[in-house]
Amino acid sequence: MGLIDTPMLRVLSGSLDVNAFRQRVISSNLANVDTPGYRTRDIDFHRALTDAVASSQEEDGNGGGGLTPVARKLQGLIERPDGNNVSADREGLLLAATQLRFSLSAQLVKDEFHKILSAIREGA
Amino acid sequence: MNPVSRALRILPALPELVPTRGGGGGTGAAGAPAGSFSATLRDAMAEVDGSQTRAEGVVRGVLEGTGEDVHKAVIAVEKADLSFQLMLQVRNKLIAAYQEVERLQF
Amino acid sequence: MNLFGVMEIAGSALGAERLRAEVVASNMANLETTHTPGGGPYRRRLTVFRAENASPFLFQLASFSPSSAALTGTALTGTALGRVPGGVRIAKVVTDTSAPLRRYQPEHPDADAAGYVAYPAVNPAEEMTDLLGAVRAYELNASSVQAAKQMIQQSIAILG
Repeated sequence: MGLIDTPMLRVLSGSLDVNAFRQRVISSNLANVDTPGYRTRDIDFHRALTDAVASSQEEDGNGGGGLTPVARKLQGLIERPDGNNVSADREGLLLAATQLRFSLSAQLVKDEFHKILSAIREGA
Repeated sequence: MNPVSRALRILPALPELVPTRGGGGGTGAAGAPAGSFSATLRDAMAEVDGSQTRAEGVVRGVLEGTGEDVHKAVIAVEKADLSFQLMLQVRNKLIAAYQEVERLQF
Repeated sequence: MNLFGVMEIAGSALGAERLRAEVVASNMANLETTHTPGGGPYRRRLTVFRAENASPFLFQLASFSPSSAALTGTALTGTALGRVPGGVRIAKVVTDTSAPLRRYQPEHPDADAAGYVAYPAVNPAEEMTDLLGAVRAYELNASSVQAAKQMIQQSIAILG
């Protein structure tokens, strides 16, 4: 991780990674809203977050990598006659929520970097 | 030469010089503390160099479209920048301390 | 694992839904076409959607396997990007083989010996519903593109 590393940064970095990945899964679902037989996929969000933070603590110092979350088929959604179970409402809501989480994390990362810079300049 | 190495060129010289001046003051008289200090410094400098290289790699990944996320690149760049800032501060403090010691000698 | 990939995935859907809308438009335009160069009335066409499997490293469980047998060229996907892993494509545009509607119109130039004219088996209500579906899906995927774009911009804004 290098010289610049705080628990907050690890958490936020993990949040950005997981939300970016989830957005990709959601967009796949949305792209296939009319595909016969397509099953909605999603990640275990909470687990993915903890995994991302945990893996960043033992990584080789590369800012990326870590574990890729697993996208599994969802159970319990209503299935249409052609076998497709994508709910436009669910995916639409999730799209907005994920985007907001990403946005929040990005802003907080920015703030964290500002704090670190201030500490470097004022302290020592 | 990497700008990081250029800026920190003075650093390796300092810990060596301090013990040969008679070892007064608080900058570490004996060879052992000074030695470990310079070793820590060297490690830190290597770390700064490393973070610069890493950042360049991730940014290249984004620009060449090989699947790197933009946020990863941005964070890597910020970390490299801040590492560099940190080292600059350390360098400045060390130079100040060295000059302080020099003044004490005369 | 990349937000630009999100745009491509949504882009594949935009192309597919647009093509679907075009096919509907073609059906609607030819509601009354009783004679075609190939003989017989216009035949309704429909699009077949297929999911494009994401790379196995990205999604652990495989979902829908496209039937590879009767796939036509990528020209039908409606997107210049070709196949997009994780996205969708129109596998083929098929012709409805339902029997045409027959109306008794002896004076009509295309009437057969019994005085019946064959009309396309196109149901306007069904076509409109299909079109609305295409429009809604198009809008959904357009918001996907917007979301991805904003997230990328927010990432860049971290640099301040």
